[in-house]
Amino acid sequence: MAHIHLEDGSFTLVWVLIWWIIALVCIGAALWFLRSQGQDNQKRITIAAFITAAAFAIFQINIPLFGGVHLNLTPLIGILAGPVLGTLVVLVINILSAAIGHGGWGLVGANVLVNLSEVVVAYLIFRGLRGLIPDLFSRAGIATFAGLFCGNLMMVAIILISGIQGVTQSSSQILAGLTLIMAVNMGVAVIEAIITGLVVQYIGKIRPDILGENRS
Amino acid sequence: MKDVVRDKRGLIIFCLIAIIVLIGAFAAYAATGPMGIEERFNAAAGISTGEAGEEASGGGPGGFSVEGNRILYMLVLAVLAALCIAAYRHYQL
Repeated sequence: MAHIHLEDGSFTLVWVLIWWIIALVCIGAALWFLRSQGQDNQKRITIAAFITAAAFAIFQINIPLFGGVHLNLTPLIGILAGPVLGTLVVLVINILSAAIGHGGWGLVGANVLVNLSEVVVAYLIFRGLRGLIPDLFSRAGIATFAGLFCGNLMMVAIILISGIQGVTQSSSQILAGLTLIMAVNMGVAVIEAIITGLVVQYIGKIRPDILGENRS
Repeated sequence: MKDVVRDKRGLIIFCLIAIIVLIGAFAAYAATGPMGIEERFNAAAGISTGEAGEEASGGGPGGFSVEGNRILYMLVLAVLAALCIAAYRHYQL
């Protein structure tokens, strides 16, 4: 959901490179971690491949709500694939999206970081609330809200830190505008939370091992 | 009663968050009006749409514009494809 929908050239080349480098460090760490685990990840990689396809498809669907928005499924990526594989999944989705004109090439690094924050926070909240909230639907839903909220915060932070070239708006005016976008995005997070909750609940019923849950 | 609340704790929290979030979203929507995603972003960032907007976003020190430039677009895609092939062969995937 949180995605920087600005054209290439909105950020200076310096900031484009900085966000790309930070994203590449995260991707490198994820690759190193995956390789160090050897063959133990085959099942998770298969799940990650499926969810990449699903998330990329849903990424492109414009939902005519609040004037037009799209879902990301990034919290679901975090819950099902985990933060390590999730890093690679969001990279692939953002590259494929940029290849068809959804977001600029230069913003892929920044968008990977935005989506990665959603993946990581959703994963941590989903795992962390296991003892407190056993119900999968609500736990996944709350994790989705938390993940998407952090993603939106990250999006606003990246735009404010980078600044936008060629505009006369002050930082406070841009912050005010982005806060409204964040509020609208969070409204759509309700739909994403319900979808994620239902998917996780269904998987929890038929294959709880995928979620790392014990069958009760 | 306590047991019911404990069992439904997650759902209660979920619904509370959803209600708060929806109120905020509708308030924001009322303030901005119906806009597409990129239109909303451009309005928030102060980027004017159309040709003037392209000029505004493309300038400045170190600025570059890939969007709308087919050659650069294909070049980036070709470099990414080459990198994928190199990574695929190097790691013997």
